[in-house]
Amino acid sequence: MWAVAPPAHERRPLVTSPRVRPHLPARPLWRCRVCAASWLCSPARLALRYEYAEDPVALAIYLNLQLFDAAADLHRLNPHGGPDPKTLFERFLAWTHRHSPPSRSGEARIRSACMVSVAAGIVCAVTTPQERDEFERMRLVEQIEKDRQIIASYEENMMFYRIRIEENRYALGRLDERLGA
Amino acid sequence: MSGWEPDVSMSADEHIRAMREALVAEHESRIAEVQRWADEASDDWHRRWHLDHVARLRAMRYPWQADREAEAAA
Repeated sequence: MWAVAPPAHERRPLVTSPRVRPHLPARPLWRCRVCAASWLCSPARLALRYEYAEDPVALAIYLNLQLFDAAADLHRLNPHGGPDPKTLFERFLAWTHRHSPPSRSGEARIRSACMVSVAAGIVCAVTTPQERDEFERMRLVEQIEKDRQIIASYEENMMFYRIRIEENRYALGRLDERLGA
Repeated sequence: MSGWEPDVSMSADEHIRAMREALVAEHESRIAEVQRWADEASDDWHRRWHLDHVARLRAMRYPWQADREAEAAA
C-alpha cells in the first residue's frame, strides 16, 4: 500500500526531524548510519516510499544513482568478492516494484494508506504488518534508551552535587579548625 | 529487526540538555556568590579562604566534561 505524500514544498527529508536521524548510507560500506543494517534498511525504504509516493519514477532514478555509486564503492572495497549486479539490483531497485502504485481515488487512497507516526511526529507509510511491528518496536526501544539516558544524566548530576558538598565540607573544616584554635 | 540498535549518541534529549543547563547556571551562581563573599571579606585570611573555595568550585568538572576528557585520554 502507498501513502499519500504531501506536496513537494511541504515534504521533509527522509524519516527525519530535528530529533530523528535519517537512515542514510555510510559510504563506502553502504550500511545504514543509524541501524548499521545493509542499506537500504527497512526504515529507509519506508521513508523513501513515503517521500516518493507521488513520484515513483523519481524514486527509481534516485535509487539507480545510489546503485551506481554503491556498485563502484563496493567493488573498490572488494574487487573479487563484492555483490553481483543481480544482488545489487534486488537490494536497491526490485523492492520498489513489489507494491501496487498509489490509488488515485481519494477515499480509496485514505483507506489504503497505512500511516504510522514516528516518535518525532513524522508520518511514514508502512506497507506490511511486519514492517509496522518492526517500526513500533524501534520506536519503543528508542524511548527506553532515552529514559535510560535521562536516568544516567540525573545520576551524573547527583554525583556532581555530592562532590560539591565535599568541597563545602572541606571549606567548613578549615573554618572549624580556625575556630577551634 | 535483528541487529538494530538505537542511536544513543545522537539523541541529545531536550530534557537532559535542560538539566545540564540548570546545573551549570546553578553552579555558576554559587561560584559568583562565594566570589562576592571574598570581595566583601574583612580580612586577608577570610578573603583567601573564600578565594580558595572559589578555586575549588571552579576546578570541578561537569559530568559530561569529565566523560569527554576520559574519552580523549583513552
